[in-house]
Amino acid sequence: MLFSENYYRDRISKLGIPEMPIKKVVFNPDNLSKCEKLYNDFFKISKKLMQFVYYNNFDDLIEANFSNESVMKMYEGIVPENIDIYLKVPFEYGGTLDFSNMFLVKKRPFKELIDNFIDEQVLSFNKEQQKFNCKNGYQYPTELYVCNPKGIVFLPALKGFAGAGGNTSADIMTEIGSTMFSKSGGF
Amino acid sequence: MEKSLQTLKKIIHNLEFFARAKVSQIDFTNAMLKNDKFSPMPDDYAMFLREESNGIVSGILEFFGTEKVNRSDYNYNFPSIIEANEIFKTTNNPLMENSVLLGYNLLYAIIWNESEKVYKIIHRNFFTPFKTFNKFNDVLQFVISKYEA
Repeated sequence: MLFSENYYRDRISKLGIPEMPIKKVVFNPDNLSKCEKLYNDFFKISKKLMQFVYYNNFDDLIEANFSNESVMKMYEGIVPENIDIYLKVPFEYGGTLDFSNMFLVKKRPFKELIDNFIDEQVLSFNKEQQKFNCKNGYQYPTELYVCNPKGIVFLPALKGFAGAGGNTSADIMTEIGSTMFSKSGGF
Repeated sequence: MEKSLQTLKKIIHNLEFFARAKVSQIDFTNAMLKNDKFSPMPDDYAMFLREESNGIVSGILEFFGTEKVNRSDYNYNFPSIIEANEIFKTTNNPLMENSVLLGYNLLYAIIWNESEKVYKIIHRNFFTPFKTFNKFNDVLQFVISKYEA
């Protein structure tokens, strides 16, 4: 049984990214026939995406504390190290290859947190459906809450340093032992 | 395998290789993985870590090694294979039992399944299998095919 939106907002907050907007998407099996081509095409667009973000969202890259080296790589069309390209809406749920359906996020520490948020829902749905012995992967939840940041670059709440506490993002990042948010900035 | 890695170096920008793993590091990592109910690394992957590079990293392709690597230029630590699999221990993910996460290629995760004795390219969250391979070199060839066109 799907929980309320407030429940999932609370979950993503407890996982360490309270500032991440979420939205509900609905599974449609008709989308599955398009997925193979979409996944293949996805691999071809990373260069254009990097350059698009460089030219259109340069200020966000600075605000998100991307290092000079990372920004220059994006100018050249190269995905910098430790950057993940996430789909806001998975292809299986009707997502497209439009850049508006993608966002960039630092893999460490955010990839695990976002994956954890999705994993919990997938596992919970499959546990209910008793679908754990499936060699073809998990059954797609009928409804799924996904991360939906406003822009194409995820801007975390803390950018410059790991705080002393009292903020969930800081607590989690400190706990993970990330050195990313040092006062000297950059990553 | 060496030829595949050379090709990957040419077509994937900023692909970084690391110092090769020692046998003791491989053995320790495998023992820790088994302890956590994951699969040990397959032999040809262990050979890759020992003879070529103890993991590789780039923006679009990662393979984990036995050791965490401090990437000071980017202000983060590239995880070891044990650290990369921690999340599955935490979430108690049934489809990861007797498997081990070896790397990522954009939206795909690359795992080894000890029961079926295959490498699987899967969707990271839904575990939808896209491709299966018997050898690590075939995984590398698959990655190359994505970028060579």
